[in-house]
Amino acid sequence: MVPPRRSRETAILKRNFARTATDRARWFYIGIVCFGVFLAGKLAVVQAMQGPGLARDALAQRSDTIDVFARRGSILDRNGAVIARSLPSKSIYAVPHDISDPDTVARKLGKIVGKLSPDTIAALHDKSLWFIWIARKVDHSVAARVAALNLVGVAERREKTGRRVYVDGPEFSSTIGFVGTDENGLDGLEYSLNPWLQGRSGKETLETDEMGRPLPFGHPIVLKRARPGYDVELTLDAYLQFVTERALEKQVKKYHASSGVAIVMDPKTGAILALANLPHFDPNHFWRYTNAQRRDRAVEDAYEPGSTFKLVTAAAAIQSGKVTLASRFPARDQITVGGHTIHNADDGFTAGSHGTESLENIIAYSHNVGAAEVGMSIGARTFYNMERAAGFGEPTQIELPGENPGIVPKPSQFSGSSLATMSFGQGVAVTPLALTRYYCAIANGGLLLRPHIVHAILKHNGKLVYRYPVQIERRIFSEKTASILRKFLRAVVRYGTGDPAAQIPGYTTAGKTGTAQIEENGVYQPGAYVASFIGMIPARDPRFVILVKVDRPIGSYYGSQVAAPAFDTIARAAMLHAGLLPQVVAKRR
Amino acid sequence: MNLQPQFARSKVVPVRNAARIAPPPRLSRKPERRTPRSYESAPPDAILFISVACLVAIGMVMVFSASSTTAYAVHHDVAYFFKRQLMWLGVGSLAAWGAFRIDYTKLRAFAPALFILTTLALVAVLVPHLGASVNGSRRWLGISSLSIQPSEFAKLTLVFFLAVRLADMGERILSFSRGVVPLLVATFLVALLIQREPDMGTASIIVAIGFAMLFVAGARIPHLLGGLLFTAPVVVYSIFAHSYQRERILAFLNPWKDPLNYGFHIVQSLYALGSGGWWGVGLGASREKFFYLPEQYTDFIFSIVGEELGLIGTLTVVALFIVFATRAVKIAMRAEDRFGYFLALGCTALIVVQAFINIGVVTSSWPVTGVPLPFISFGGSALVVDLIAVALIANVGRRRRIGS
Repeated sequence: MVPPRRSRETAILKRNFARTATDRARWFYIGIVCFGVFLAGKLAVVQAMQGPGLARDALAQRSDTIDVFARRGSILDRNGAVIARSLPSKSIYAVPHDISDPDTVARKLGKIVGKLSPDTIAALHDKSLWFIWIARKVDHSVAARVAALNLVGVAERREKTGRRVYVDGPEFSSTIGFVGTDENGLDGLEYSLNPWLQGRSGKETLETDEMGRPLPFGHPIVLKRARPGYDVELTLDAYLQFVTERALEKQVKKYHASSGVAIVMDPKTGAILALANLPHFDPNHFWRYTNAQRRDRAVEDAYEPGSTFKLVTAAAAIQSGKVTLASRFPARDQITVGGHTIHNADDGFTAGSHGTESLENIIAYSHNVGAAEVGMSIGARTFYNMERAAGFGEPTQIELPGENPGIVPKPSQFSGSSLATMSFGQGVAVTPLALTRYYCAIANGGLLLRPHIVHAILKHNGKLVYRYPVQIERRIFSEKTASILRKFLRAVVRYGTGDPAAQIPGYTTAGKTGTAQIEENGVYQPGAYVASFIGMIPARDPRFVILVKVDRPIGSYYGSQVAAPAFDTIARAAMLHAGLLPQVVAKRR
Repeated sequence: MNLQPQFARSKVVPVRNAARIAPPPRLSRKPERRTPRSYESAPPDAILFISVACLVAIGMVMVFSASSTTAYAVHHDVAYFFKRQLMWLGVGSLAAWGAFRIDYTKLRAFAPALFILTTLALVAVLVPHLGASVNGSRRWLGISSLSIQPSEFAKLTLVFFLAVRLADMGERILSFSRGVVPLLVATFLVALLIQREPDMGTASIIVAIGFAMLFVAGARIPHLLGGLLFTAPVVVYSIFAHSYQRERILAFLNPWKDPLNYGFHIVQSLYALGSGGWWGVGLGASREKFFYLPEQYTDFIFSIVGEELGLIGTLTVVALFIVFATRAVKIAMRAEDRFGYFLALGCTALIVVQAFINIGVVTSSWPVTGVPLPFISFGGSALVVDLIAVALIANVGRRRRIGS
């Protein structure tokens, strides 16, 4: 313990060492207090003086204006059953920068949201990225399963528009249409009713965390209130729609047909109760189908109606008074008009070459020659006026988009054989809907109604906003004429082409078969037919008018064989569904 | 008040007779002490205890509040870190109780062994398969939540080692080559090992503690300045060798120059403090803890204190540290022996230097170095070490020579 060197200075220091140490402890303490006071001053400057400015900047940093979800209105059937509705959706995103093991993350996510694309997986490996989408618009349940994985760098955010769910899949599909990813209606009622259905998303300024998620105790500022869309109640009946689809499907499959349409309409109100199209599609995955598969053939396609159009000729003849029930026409199976030879169909109801037949016989046996003779006897103007009065050649103005007005040539455009062929439905084109509407007029006593498929508009809380009224366009013919036409149609089923295919035990039915050739580029295609049947039930005071149309059937092309069985099925179901039970018929001994 | 250290007054003379006067009736079967005690226990310093208890209480509450966001996001349990801190508080309290009860003078013999053990642990951390790496630095030994941070214990070991050496050395500290240099070498050895982790914050704390202890021991100022001059090139090199480090360290001068990168921590810290204002936004209502402020429950917890409790809260914490320092220095100056004096002052330096550097960092008065705030930041090893340090100070203060 000898000091290194003895000097005067060291000796003094040694003597005063204890003193020095004490002083040093004091200086140490003074240093601490000074540093503490300095820090206190600095805190006062930062918190008290600069505080308000810093607080403002911090608020700006964490404030985020977000879009608030507004639910798109639901589409309901006439009984309130949901056809289409929107669910709040979430999107899942990733922050590749924070992901340490991209392959595991990709594998785990793939199990829940479906296999990730190679691009997404490559992006997950890119450490320089801070944001990539993993899955857009998934259910909350899917998002919850992803959240349960507890993956670092994977998060979710709410979407301002929901995810559209079509509960019944392909049912209703061609009528309802579909929406795009932003829930904008692209086709069908979704398109035409878009202004009603679409909600208006709101805007809010929120305090959010670093990832943009709202803070639990932030004070949101509502910039724009979100307004959910209106619900739409349709006139369609989910049960009848189901039956109609199945009945049509059965016939289309049985005859390997290319397409088919079936419409059930209430003749008293013009409400469409069921509207089936084949082929149909799943609107939940609309992008997997072609345009042809998504067509609403009931309103978009006009076709040559064939024999079902003879009722227009008959109506013109009766209403004009030029033909009465007593009028007789020569019975022939062939006639040449304007260089064009017209035949009766070879269906076992030929007219023979002797004698005469009444208008009722012509309709019941569906004689083309007879219809042509009736048409020529009443004249082009009378016939054309009835066509236009019946609403052909103009859109029916139903709420469905893309309606085809049909083709009804003016008398001035007629060629030599036009009037004759049009009298049995060749050379004019109408949509199935327009034809059904015309038959409704026959059923309801001569009033042409505006068909409608939308019943009411409701607020999201169920309050009625607007109810679509029954709209009468005009009277086409008198009630007397209507009852005569119904008698003709009854005759078809009783003993004509509809016997016995359209007869339903316990009910009275009336209707008309139709078999038309399909024309393409001005040439009638050999072997290509449209088989159709339009009927009403019960015959006296019809409750339902039902059209069934099957395109290009193979094996048979008669409306009675191809289309009438579907009418049978639909009509029974409709009557029972309406609570109208069959009446017991005494069996003949 | 007599601030004259007791050890300087006279030599220690054991008063054997004092204990023999009227021996109390013994009820226990424990054999009687052969050599009666020459020291008695004074009651522990109440103000020291209260100030530390307040700091620990604030710390537990703030750890819960500040860590809840990360705890929930990562572990789906808001109290995840709080529970661990609570466990470490239990461990730390037990360790502190031991450090308080033990006769600290008997620990002198262990100092060299402890120093070697710590050095070995610090080396072990750097071995790839032994040390756990988090965020690119190897600081931990052991597995997951039970891991310990040898660098935290190294602070205490160094204080202990220097206290022993200084007490033995006496006036020799006045010598440069035989006094100051060996101790500085020991300090730099520890600091260098920690710097390799890399952990610049703890390394600089180690150096600061070393210099503080040499200073209070009475080392001559020119010698200390010489030592500082020796470290200067190392510091300058480590700062300016890599541009990113330079930017990071100098960011405190003007954090707004690059608020999204190097200045990010400081800017967010200032946002938090500024948002707090005078009275704070309320306990638990911090916004910055929602992943804006990084390290919000460890090195930057003081910013959250400022945001939630306001200027009132931050000044309270600073005041508590000054109260603590006041009592601790007083205890050191009244210490019965040189070892106690150095031990108490070293422990005081250990806590207060860290605290003020941490607060300096979050208020943008000091370069960003990862230093936890004693008693308040989340961190088991640090809490245990800090509690042991306080216990040692109290232990020194408790020891009174009988009859004095």
